[in-house]
Amino acid sequence: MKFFGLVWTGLWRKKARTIFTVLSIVIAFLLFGMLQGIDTSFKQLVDQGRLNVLITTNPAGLQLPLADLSRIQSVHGVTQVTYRSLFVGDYQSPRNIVVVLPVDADSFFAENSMFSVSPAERAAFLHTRTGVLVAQSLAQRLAWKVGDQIPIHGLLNAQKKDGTADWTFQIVGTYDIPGNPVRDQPLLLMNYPYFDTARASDRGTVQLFQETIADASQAAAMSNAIDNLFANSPAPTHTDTERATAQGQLAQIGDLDFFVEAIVGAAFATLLLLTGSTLMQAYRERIHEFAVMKTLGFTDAGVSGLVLSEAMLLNVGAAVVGLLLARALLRVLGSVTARVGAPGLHLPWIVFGVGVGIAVLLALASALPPAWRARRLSIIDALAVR
Amino acid sequence: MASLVSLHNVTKRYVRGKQTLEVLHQLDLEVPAGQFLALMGPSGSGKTTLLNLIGGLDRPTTGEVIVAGERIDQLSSGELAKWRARHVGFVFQFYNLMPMLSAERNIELPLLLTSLSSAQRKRNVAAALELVGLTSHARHKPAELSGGQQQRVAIARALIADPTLLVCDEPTGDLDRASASDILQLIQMLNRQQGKTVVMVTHDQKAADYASRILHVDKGQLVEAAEQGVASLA
Repeated sequence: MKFFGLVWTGLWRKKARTIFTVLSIVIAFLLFGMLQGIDTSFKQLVDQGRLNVLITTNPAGLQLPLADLSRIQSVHGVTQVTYRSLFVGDYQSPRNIVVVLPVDADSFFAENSMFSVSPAERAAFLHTRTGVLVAQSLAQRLAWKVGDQIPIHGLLNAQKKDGTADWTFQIVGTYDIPGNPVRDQPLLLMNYPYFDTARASDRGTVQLFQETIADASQAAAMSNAIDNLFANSPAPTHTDTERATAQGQLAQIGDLDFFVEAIVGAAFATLLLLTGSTLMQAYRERIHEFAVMKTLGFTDAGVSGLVLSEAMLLNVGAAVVGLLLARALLRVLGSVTARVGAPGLHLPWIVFGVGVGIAVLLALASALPPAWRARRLSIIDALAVR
Repeated sequence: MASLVSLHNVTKRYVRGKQTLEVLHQLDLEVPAGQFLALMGPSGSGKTTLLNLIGGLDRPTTGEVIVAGERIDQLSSGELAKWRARHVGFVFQFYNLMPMLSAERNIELPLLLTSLSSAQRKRNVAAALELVGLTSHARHKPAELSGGQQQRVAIARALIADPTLLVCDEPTGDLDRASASDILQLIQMLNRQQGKTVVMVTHDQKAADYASRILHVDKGQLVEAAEQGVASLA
């Protein structure tokens, strides 16, 4: 600790150079934190996908007949089936986007036990035709409470028979999905029968079926069995596990891993060259000072340790600032994206730790050449040069 | 009086490309404890090389260098560094202060290698600053001090760890006459009142006159100067 002042002073020998280097490191790790945070958030979303739950959709994105339900239920190994539709709307302003899921209440909660709803509110939902259950975070944000009548203006898949897209719901309760990345999505659960009888078109259809199977290892065979039922029908299906479906949706964005690794790799390679040349330049300017320190009794290892410590303080300090900024920005960005139905973004501490580890490696790699030279420095030769 | 510095049959050769240059040739030297020795000689005579050997900054090609009872020519690089920290204070022609550190932090540098507490280090630095008359300049950086003041800071840094031997390489070579006289009187005071053994390299006969003994280095050999009157403290 008594050498900290010496290290700190050495770091600020050339203030402008140090500030620019610190900014470069902060920006590189901000970029790393943001990209890794987004990538990790999406991966966590995919990881939430269950392997014993299948999702059946139309490969062209069309609606599926609800009449398919009984045929799917009859497939051997399918233990439960539920279905749902989806429409997007807003509450009072386009800033308050909501996603409405018309569901069959009984089968939906039986298959999606992660939705935490009180028994009384669940019963109220079952018995209230226009009732909705809303995400707790959404209710807090829009100051909704149980009993409120809320108007939702439909934007997508929401046209009604009366020619409008204006839906009125009664809030009968709230739900939560503790620990789930979609916890803060602006989601409303409504009763499918109300949705189906009120909508203008596609009556008797659903967006997807969700099947729970007895044996996850049979997922591929079961998917084929379901799809074979409708192979030659006007509404063919595509069935996959919940996780594979989520993975497929993510893949539509592109190869996120590749983009993240390519951008972060390029940023760190540039950073390594920048800090390496900066530290080498700083070493050259201080050869005489290192020789004086050795003269005073600092050992070879002690002097090289000071060079390494400076690099470590510079890299790790700036990296921590960059990662903390990324964490704060992702928190803000996550609250914004969650409002429009995207998964909440965050920077997990494990990624933060990996970032700090990379900063340590970068510091070592960039400081080893000057530290090695400082160690080998001859006092006589260095003092002779002024 | 027992010798603090003993050199026996010391030869120092440098290899520069294909050439081998013998700077010191089978040299013997005894410096008793408490002596103020001035080494004089023309440029390239080997006096700084001799000073570097005595101060443990360099090793002889052959021969023995014994300082404060230790064969320093046989110590490893790390052992030599620790030995220097304990036994030798260095004063250079160009002060060699750390430009980023204040006077007090420059003086404190050697104490960072000791186990002294921060409070003890501060007390010792304050005492050293008072000894060299720079208490009011403690927070000044080298660039804010005159040449004479910088050399006083360098002397305080050399003394702070209480070494037995002060090694001075042209300590007044970069100073005007008045400042040089002040610095030489300070070094002489340290020799006489605190018993520090001083070995000083100088070109300047007036500076050498402050020493109690003068040796001339010529072509790698030592020649004892005639006994002379010693310049004294004002």
